[in-house]
Amino acid sequence: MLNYIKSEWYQVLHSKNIYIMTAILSGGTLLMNIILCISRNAITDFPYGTFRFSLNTLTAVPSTLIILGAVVAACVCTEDLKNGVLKNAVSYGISRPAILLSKCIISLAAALITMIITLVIYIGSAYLLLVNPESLPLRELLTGIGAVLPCATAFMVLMIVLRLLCLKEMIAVIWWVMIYYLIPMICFFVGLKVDIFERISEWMPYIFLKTGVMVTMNNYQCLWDTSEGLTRCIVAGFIGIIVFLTFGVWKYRKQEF
Amino acid sequence: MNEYVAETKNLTKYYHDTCALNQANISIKRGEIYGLVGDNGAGKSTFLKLLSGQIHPTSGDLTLFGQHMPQKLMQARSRMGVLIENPGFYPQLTIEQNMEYYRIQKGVPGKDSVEEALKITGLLHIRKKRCKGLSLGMKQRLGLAIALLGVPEFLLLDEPINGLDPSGILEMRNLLLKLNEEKNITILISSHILSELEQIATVYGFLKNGYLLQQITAEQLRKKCSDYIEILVSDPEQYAVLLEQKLHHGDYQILPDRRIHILNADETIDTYSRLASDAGLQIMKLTRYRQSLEDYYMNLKNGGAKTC
Repeated sequence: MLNYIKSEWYQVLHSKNIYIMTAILSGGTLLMNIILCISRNAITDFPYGTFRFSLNTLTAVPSTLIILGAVVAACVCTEDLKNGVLKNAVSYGISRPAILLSKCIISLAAALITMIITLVIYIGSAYLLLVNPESLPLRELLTGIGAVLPCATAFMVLMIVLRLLCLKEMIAVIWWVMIYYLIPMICFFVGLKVDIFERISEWMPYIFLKTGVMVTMNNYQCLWDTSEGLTRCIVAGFIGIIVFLTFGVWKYRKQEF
Repeated sequence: MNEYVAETKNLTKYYHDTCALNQANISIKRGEIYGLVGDNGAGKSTFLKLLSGQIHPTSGDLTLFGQHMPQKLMQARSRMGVLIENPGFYPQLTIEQNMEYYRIQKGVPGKDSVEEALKITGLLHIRKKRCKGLSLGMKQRLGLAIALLGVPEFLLLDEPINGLDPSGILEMRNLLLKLNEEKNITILISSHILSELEQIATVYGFLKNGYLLQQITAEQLRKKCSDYIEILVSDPEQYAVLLEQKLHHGDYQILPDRRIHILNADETIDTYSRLASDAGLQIMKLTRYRQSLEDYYMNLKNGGAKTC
């Protein structure tokens, strides 16, 4: 398995996908800060040209991390499936669960590196280009990222599992959207009538991140600021990782090429 | 050391209701070049995929290098080189990068092994080329180079000469023979081009509709396919009686138009000619033929092999 992880890492480093992805994300955040900076200089009383506003954009929508994590995972897996590389790995005696676990490890590592580079450019450019308040809202952002990370990992694992199981990329994406968004929404609306569904939906990341985070220019209320909220984020994430990984190993064992 | 690199007992594979391989008992000895012969859908690729672990058997046993437990089987597969259907590689990487990827994956020490495999397969001079633009023949060569990384003990090749030009086919044939002779690599090869297979295989397995019709060594096949004699004689029935009584030879076929085929004909043409003339039978034609692998396969497939 270690050799497989090493070879996958070699492939990720020598392919363009991860560099393009990092460039797009970093470039996107840099562009946003440049636009805010230009607007601040061009428009009188422009209220959004601040460091706080820029960083709160991400803090307010923590599900961005979950979606981007899944995109990175899809990038890492895409080429293997298209080009029949996985069948060779199996032929050389690497077990299917080892392939799945390795993919998760590599995707997580690639996503973390992408995230760190993007954050450095994002925070750095915001700091250099925008108006800095007396107290920087860095702690809030980083706490938020830390709290969401287990959930992001869980849904990254889900994307890898779905990509490995579904022959077509679009089918995997549709399933992922259903599990991340559609089922929680159904549970949420049914939960308005039936208590048990309400309690279930409260543990679904899409719902608790949507209802538990409220960030504006002057107001900051996030569920991970309370120990109960933070626990929910972390526990839901780890449950997700275990459930998706177990399902993936169980199903992928039977996969044929 | 186990004599067999691969053995299957009643190996069966169903795809839903379709039987792709039915209770196949195939044994491949160390050092053999095993030629798998069969039409499309006969079960050749299915058998190769089962050996390589790409698909799971519905029932039956599989032993590789004497190992049959699932975990041990996977370890045994690390001693194999595989090229089944399309070779798998990353198109955006160069040939060398793809080789390096597999070298790391297989845990083959030293980068020299990549160079050696590329040299053997004639890809060394284009190693910096991206795989995206490779021709079908070059892709096949790369697939073989990947399979050869780390000098495997057992090579599984599914239609390896697909897409190769005539000189490529010749090179591939010589390469396989060289690998087998010099490095004692056991090779399991399937091909539609039987004339090619005939030149390298030491054992044959004939598959039809998922059934293994016959497993036979090249030596046995040569004997079975050895010359047969076609005689056009005035009275074939009487000639057949003479064959049995005087030459004690019962391996013949009486055909329409007063023709008789003497199979496994060990005697000289004179002997068969004299047999007729001594009995007053008139011979209009007497010709010795040699059966090719293709003829043998067609006979076997159409149920005519029992008489062969």
